[in-house]
Amino acid sequence: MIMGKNIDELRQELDEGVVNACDLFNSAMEASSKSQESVNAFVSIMDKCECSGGSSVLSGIPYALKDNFSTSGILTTGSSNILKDYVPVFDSTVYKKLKEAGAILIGKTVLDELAMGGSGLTGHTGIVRNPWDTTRISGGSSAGSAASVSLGIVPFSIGSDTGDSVRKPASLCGIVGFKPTYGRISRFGLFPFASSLDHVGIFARNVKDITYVTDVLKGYDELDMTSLPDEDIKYVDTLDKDIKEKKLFYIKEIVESVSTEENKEVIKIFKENIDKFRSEGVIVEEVSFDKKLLECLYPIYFIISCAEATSNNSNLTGFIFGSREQGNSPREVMFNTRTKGFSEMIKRRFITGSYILQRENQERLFLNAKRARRMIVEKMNLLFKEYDGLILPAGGIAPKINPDEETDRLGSDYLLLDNHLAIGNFGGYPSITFPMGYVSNMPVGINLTCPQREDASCLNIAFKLESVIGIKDVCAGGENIG
Amino acid sequence: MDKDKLKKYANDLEFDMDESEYKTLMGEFDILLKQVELIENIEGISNYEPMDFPFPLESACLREDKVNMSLAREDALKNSKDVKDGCVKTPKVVA
Repeated sequence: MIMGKNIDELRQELDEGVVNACDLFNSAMEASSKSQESVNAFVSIMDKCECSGGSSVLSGIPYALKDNFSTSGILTTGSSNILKDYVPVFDSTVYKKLKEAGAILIGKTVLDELAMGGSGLTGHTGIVRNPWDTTRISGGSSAGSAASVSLGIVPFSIGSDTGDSVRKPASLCGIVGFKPTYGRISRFGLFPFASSLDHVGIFARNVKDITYVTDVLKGYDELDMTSLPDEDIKYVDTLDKDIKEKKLFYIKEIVESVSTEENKEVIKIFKENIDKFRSEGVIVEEVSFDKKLLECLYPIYFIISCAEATSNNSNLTGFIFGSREQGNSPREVMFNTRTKGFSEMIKRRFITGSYILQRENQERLFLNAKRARRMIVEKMNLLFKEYDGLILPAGGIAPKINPDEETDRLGSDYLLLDNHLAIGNFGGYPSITFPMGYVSNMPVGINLTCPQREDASCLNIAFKLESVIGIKDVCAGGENIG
Repeated sequence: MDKDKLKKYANDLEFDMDESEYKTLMGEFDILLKQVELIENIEGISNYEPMDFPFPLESACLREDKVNMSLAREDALKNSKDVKDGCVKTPKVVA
């Protein structure tokens, strides 16, 4: 009934009375429960259809929400043992807006613990598997949100993106993932990870659906100090603008950095698509970017995010909310709660963050990382004076799950192809990943990143390029492969 | 990076890890400190101001001094595991 249908199709069926919202909810709930054993996308699946009416395009449409968005009266765990019983008493702005629009929550999705990670393997309720091949990772941290859309259970879902946590899993799961300009969508009620890099993001199976949801969610929110002023336009009205003569660039050093046969195939597909864009009148040029700066992308991200995360999560003490362990003094309670509540990976990140923030290390580590961030953003802003967007492969294909190899451990390889999406977070740029082809029967995505505040242009260009590529509305398994 | 130093950082953050976890972390620090050198060696880095946010924030100013969203006491206590007389209960702070 709901499986694999997009928002336009479901809207039409709802408006014509072919189905009602509760039919869609029940269908999505059944499909979610059925998929748990093989994919494990959900922390919680709702058992009651809470339809609030609404007259928006999303009214009656089911969706899934990452389990780090506050939902009053609904378990919200951050996929961490320290919050395994936490039931918020207020709504995040994102959830509130979707409720007001009449969208129907069908479940809260698994993430890498506290959104720190890129694999989907570290949530406290178990690993999320890639719907295309359950022996492979889904990517993260918004793992369950990506998987639920890829499975076709819901037409859209919500995630959060601090380094690439929406745009990378979108690529690995063969769907579309978008994060708008920093501050465009309120983060009030989103568990903070690294506040200067955190964005709300959206998954769907086509760019138009992403745009519908962005139009509902965007807008100033006085509860978020980083919220941008309102824009008096609906992005969906500008989707179809002609993009001939639009100028895009790709970074030579990233495209040339690949070494494996699989990644060479990714680049081949990327270049074939670039040729298609050019034949449609889009100008695409190769630009050289300081490789030494590119090799610093991951270290900059790691240093800034660990430092901010250490500070942001100091409120998890066991007293006011979250799990609580016993102890003979307040300090002992806190110590025992945090020792038991955080996984090893989280503790390692916090210790690293603490080291970075020590007075004697701040200049060399934290401030230098922030200086390098500015260097990259200033270079990008200069390029965006000449170009309308940066176009690159979103990464390689989903790796196999390897139980013998610990995930999310800091590695020594500088994998430019797999780490460049953090540029979008450094500069707060609107950035969207959409499918561009298949390698070894797995999907690969292409990413478009545009100047700050140019969300409408980003969605417009992506909408047109998606049509040139000819892959959209695809569920895992390859139905509708164009 | 020695283990005692890392253990102190962990304890200052109010948690501990086991031996094998510290060993893993020491390995990570070897990598991290090499990566820090990469950043340090970027030509001209000292000429740049540290960047705190992606761009200057238009709305990040002091808001008007009026009440906005707040939690009722009853709601604020709902998630605490130990509550007594409208307060969060903890072990004694002063003996």
